[in-house]
Amino acid sequence: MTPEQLLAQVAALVAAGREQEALGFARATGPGVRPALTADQFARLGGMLEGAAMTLDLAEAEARGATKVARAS
Amino acid sequence: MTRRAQRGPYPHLVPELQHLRGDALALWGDAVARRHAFEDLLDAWEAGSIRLATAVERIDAAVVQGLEALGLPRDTLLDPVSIVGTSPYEPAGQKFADCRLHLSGTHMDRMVRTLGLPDDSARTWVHESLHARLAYAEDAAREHRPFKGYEEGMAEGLARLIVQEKAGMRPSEASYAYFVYAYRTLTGAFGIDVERLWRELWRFSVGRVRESFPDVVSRLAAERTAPLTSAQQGRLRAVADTLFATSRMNQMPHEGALMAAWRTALR
Repeated sequence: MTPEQLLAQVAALVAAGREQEALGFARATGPGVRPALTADQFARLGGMLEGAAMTLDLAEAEARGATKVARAS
Repeated sequence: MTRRAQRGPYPHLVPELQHLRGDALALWGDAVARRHAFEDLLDAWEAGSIRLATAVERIDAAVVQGLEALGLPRDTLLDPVSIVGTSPYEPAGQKFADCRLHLSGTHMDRMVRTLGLPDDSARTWVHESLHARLAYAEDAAREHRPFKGYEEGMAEGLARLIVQEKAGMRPSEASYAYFVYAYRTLTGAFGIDVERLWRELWRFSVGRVRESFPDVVSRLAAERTAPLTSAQQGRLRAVADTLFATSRMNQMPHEGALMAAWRTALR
């Protein structure tokens, strides 16, 4: 798999609301990607995964009412 | 250039950052000091050293003081910033709803040591800190899941503005590029200042940026021309929902197409 294919697949999973799959896919597939990701590709991937993880956390927090007791930020 | 005071050891910094003191000033102004600080942090993290807390606190204090000086203060975190991670192929960082902030040591290691871009790790640190401004809206996922561009484009746009334009750092410009350019072309089309727009949107909780967006744009546009009509605000919402949709996250921005899209809202 090429870097752009990895990025496209992660983006597609996140856009489909399948954030957990996106995170798992990147972790499992990333090490085998050739050639290695450039700095820009790595920054794009890190950002997309950040967004995916944040959505998951927000959804989980809402489900357990955690934002109601968030102390400050 | 007129805003930049030509004095002090780091004249490339904007005046607000030049007023920082000691280590915080050095970490914002000196690229070599910054790289060494990230390398020290990574050394301590990999060694499992008790020096890690000090290394994290050193950079974090500089980030906090810098954001405070720029009028974008970070709210109190539940715990000190944590360095986590087992794979480079994971989120670069994450601000949690319960006020914790994690940064990936493995991602940071790849950026700092392998790719030679410690300034990109500084950008990530600032980006995550910009999410930490207010309690998240309880239903924030309803905005963030389908429309990540509102929050992430604003946070990333501000993060790059801060580290690049205000501090002269050289991070990658690729993260959330589509959303950042969408904001930049919006302000071009409407004749408003992009920094003001981002700062106004930053005042709202994560999960409330989309809701506030048309009113904020209309108010800023009114300072130059006239407030948007309700029909224009409706079209603005529709265009923004399209351009800030999560499905656009990996697209390459095209300035002409983005500008044309925004202009349809002004008809």
